Amino acid sequence: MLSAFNDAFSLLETLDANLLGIVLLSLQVSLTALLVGCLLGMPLGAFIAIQNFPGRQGLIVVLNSLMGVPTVIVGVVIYLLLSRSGPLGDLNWLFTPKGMILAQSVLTTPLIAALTRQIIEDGWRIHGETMSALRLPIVAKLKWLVWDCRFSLSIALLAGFARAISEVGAVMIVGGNIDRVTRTMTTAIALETSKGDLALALALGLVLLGVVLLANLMTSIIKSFAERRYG
Amino acid sequence: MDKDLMIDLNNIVIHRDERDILSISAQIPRQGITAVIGPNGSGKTTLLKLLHGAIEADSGTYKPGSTDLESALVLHHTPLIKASVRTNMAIVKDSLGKYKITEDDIDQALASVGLTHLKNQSALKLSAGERQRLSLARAKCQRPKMILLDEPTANLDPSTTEQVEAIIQQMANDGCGVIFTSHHLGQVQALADRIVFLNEGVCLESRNTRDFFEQPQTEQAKKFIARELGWK
Repeated sequence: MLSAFNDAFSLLETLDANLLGIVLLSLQVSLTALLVGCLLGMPLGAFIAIQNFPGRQGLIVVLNSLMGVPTVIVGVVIYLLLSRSGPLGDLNWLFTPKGMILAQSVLTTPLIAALTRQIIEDGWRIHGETMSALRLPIVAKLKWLVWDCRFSLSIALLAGFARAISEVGAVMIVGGNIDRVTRTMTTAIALETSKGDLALALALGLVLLGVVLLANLMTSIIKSFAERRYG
Repeated sequence: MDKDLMIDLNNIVIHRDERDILSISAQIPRQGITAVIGPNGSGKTTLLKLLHGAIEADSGTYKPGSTDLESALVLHHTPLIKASVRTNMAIVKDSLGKYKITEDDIDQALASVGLTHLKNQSALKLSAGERQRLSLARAKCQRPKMILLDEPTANLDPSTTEQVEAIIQQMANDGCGVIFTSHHLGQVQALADRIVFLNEGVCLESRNTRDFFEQPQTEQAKKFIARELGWK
């Protein structure tokens, strides 16, 4: 076990090309899925937070449920959609990073939307009457609520990123874990562990842990800066 | 008084939680300073929100409507967003008003309430008085013909109260009609030209200030004045 750790650190020290490629692909896929999740999930969550419409409660229940949907189920659904006979088969995204981004976006969007809805709804309780008194149109209300809650919303971003970077089920099914094409940190860890190559699995695990810790650290620094600056 | 210079409330009823929280027929001047007074829960804030168009009446009419009134409403509790004073001012640039609000308008409004030196400071670090001045500056930016103020000096110390009263008086002198609610009858006597007295959602008196305090016409008004002035 000790030698596996030594080999893992050695891979990290030498910036092994294989390891680096896997890490970069993981970050590329997960950060893009996070971006998509933000672009879709934040406006959706903010809209649900401040608007009353028929079926709103039902939509909230669906979003909250989707936060915890198993990643393999998302993987299977996206697989069926992207497969040659599926409705999105013409895109040829199956077993490509684009397909993996789509699958992870399906995971990040409802999570970010649900957390955004909760955070913005709390903000709306505080600012709603004032914003209405100022006669702000709905887009402006959303803009200023998101701005007011921006530091709390960083938690939603962090959760979305953690959901994407750490999942294995969806990218394994949709990406196929193809060497140097669709192999991410999590799928590589699963494969290398089953093969007995613990060094690479451990090295990737350490990088994954470091990435998540770094994201947490940055969120924490931003929040404490904000509290000092804006009270 | 000229009918065009009055807000004419005709059989307005606002019903909430199985009771009428406002049931009013009255005329309120669009110029000068009018104080809306009455016990807690008498419908003062509801009346301001109605005039501003923030809530609708269940029945009855009032003229001019909230759109023609071109009002700005400053609520009793005005939370500010986590940003600088200037950013909090910039919010009004997005409001659905008749005028396009510029950066110069914001600078002038901040200067008029004496907050220029704090414009880059976090709004959440302002004192209660500074927050109220910021809210008034925001309202001024909207260039309203009428400003509606809900207890503008509640919880302020005497010195800050004087500053806010001076701003209100200045706005009235500049031709902006002012309607404000208050529990501070000394302030009402000093500032208001006219009184609207509400009790349990009903307008019992609408008269000039001196007449109201010297010869209140209803028992409720007499008791209210005695209680409030005695308590003070």
